Amino acid sequence: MRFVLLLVLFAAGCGASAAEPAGYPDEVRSLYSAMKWPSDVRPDLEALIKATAPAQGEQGFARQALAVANTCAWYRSWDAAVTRGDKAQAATALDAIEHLVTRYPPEADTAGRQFVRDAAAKASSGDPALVRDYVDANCFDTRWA
Amino acid sequence: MKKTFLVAVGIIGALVATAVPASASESGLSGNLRKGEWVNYGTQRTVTVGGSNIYVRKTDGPEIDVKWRRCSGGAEGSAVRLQNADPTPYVRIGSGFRASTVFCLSAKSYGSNSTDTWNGNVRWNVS
Repeated sequence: MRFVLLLVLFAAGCGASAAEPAGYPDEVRSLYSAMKWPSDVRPDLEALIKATAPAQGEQGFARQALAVANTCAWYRSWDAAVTRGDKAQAATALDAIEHLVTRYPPEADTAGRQFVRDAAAKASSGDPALVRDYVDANCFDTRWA
Repeated sequence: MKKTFLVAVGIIGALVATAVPASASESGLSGNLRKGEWVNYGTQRTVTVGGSNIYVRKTDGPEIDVKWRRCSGGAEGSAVRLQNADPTPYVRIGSGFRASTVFCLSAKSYGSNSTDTWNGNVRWNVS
């Protein structure tokens, strides 16, 4: 339920482009604040803003960049927790992987929706292969705080 | 009899030529455009077939450039021109993607209007 509420807040923030006169950095900070992050893995927000900032006059990919960073954060958190035998953190991360991350890919991305479901199922059975693939493909150069 | 055979061969040939592999992904595109400025589209898509390519075609709209961008930043493809005449053929805008890559699309108009719209299709997870 908490995840659903956070997603509603996240989506509401995304649609308010007319109310974002402060520009891309503030848009990213605002969206970031509305999202749930693992306690042990968070992106370096200023580095993320710098890496994803659009050119002058362009609309940025703030929502998409944060959805990917959030997915990577929960995947990394789960993988690290399993590796060090932290069952509580692993369970928290797996819950997010199954119920939060699976909501990010849009309807048009059927392959992506299937991917996050497959990654959740494999993680649930202890297999980190897809989780690691995703992090390597999308967040290999992400700076973490 | 010979004519029927040739028609059948023609139909089969056309089906083979337009067939999309079962692993392929395809969705419609519809977006706003600005003349001479990139517009970034917010629909993310995921590559799930390693080494595959992305193709785009335009079915309506002015002459445009299209390119892919990694949604999480740090990488983007070169601009590929789609001419004014519609529908355009499918044009490859990126190749050899790593599985799990989440990409977004951007387009820039070369039409006469300062703002415009376009429609088309994107195919990914294809060779």
